[in-house]
Amino acid sequence: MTPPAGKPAEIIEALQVLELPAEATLTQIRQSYRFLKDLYGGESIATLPVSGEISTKDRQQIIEKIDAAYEALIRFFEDERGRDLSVQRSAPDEIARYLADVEEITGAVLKTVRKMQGFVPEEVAAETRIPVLNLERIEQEDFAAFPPPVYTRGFVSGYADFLGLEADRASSDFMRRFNAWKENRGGGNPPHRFRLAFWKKKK
Amino acid sequence: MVRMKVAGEMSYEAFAAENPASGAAPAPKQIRPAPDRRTKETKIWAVGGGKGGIGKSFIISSVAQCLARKGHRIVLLDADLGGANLHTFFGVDRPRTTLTEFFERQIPLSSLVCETGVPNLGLLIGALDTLAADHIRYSQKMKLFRHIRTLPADYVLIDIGAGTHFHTVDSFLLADTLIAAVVPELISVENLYYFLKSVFYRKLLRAMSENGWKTIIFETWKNRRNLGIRNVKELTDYLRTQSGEISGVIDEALSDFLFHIVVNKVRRRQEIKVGLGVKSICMKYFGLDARYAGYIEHDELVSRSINKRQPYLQTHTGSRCSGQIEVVAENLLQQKAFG
Repeated sequence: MTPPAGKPAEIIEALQVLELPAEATLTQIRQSYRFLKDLYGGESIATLPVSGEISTKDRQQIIEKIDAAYEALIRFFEDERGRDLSVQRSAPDEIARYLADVEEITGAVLKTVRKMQGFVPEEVAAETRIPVLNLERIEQEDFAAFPPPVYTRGFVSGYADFLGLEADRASSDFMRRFNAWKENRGGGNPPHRFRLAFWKKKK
Repeated sequence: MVRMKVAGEMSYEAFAAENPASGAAPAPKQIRPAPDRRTKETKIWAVGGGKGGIGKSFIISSVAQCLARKGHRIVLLDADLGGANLHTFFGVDRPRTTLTEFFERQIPLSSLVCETGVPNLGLLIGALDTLAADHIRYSQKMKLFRHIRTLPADYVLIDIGAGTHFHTVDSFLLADTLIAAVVPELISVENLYYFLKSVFYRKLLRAMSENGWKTIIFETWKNRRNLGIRNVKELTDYLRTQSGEISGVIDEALSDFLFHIVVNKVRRRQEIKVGLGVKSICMKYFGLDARYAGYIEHDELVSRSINKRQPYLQTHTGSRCSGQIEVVAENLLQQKAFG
């Protein structure tokens, strides 16, 4: 195994702690970190059968190792990109507490969770292939500017999935609000600014 | 996880060395087959998982079809000696030749392979009428294992059946690619851990026995409470401290030891992650290398196909489930992780 150029051995090691290959992206690192913190911080069918095999202290050590690896990786990427990535980063349990009080997944909720996880829209766009413009429209619930519902639904579920939320719940919550908005303005699909803009440009 | 390596293989010499009663002369300790000696020979894959009914046979028979479609010559071996049923997946009716002929009448394995109706895919059926499967002699089993590698195939895929009996574990350890099947249910995960630990313990026991340290591992495990050993990782950690030689043997036994986890019967999106969780526990708690090969979602039509005795992959070619099986097969072939 040869580490790819530009990645020191301790970074490769940190990636191994997060169970990631050497070429892992920042997004993968964040997702894996969140997943492992949830896994070792809580109880699930993967951890329950072995809960008696390991002491609380050892488990704590694993969590500390995961934290340290993540910190090292974030620092590495910060140096590489020359940008502070950790400003708005919140701990996974803080996000879980926030989500526990959420009754309906709205654009604002998606935005809050994204910020708590410390992502900028460009990073989400790079991973999900949802254009930044549409991510912003979803967050602001700019219903009039949405692409046709079939796309909107796909975008919302893709975005929610990226954030680690329940994609089906997010898209149904969101579409319910979208439909309520349509009813209020007299039914029917919104005039497609999306499509009109396209034709206008052609002219 | 990024290490690419040839999966573990247990040579016949190693088997014989462990049990001289098998009739063969014990092989000298220092002679071990070179890892790449077998690259051109038949590769063996096996699926296990401890619990019954989690779809081991479905997974292995479907993966076999995927490989056969790619043009590899496959022999599917039903090593569930007491409960063979792989033939049912292909609608093979009352097979005339089974492993019984091999055990009782010394007929060569290659002439016992039945056709499945799928090109490139042959089937070797477990002993249907051997009522006392547990009483298959050790020497018989060793003979079977020895002959498997001589089958005219690129891959031999073994369905080892449920349980953690040492017969089952031995068949599993025979493979170069170890596939661990699990469904997203607590009981299945629990049984998978038991199974993986048994497999690992048996592998370790063999490696230690080859060097004449069988009693060390027995005694250590017996005294585990006094030594404060709670899991297999602590066992290996303790054994490593005993001597540099032991540490070397453990390293060697572990170096080519890798599980490929397949999650079957996924019903909800969140359950896909069970594979990642199980992989993580294997690595961090048990100190075993594992890789998540992929998941297969639950499809009602699978059991319907089996009941109709039609291979699911042939009758439901374009389904999501079929696509996921193909991803699993490809990941196993490339020794790659899912995602």
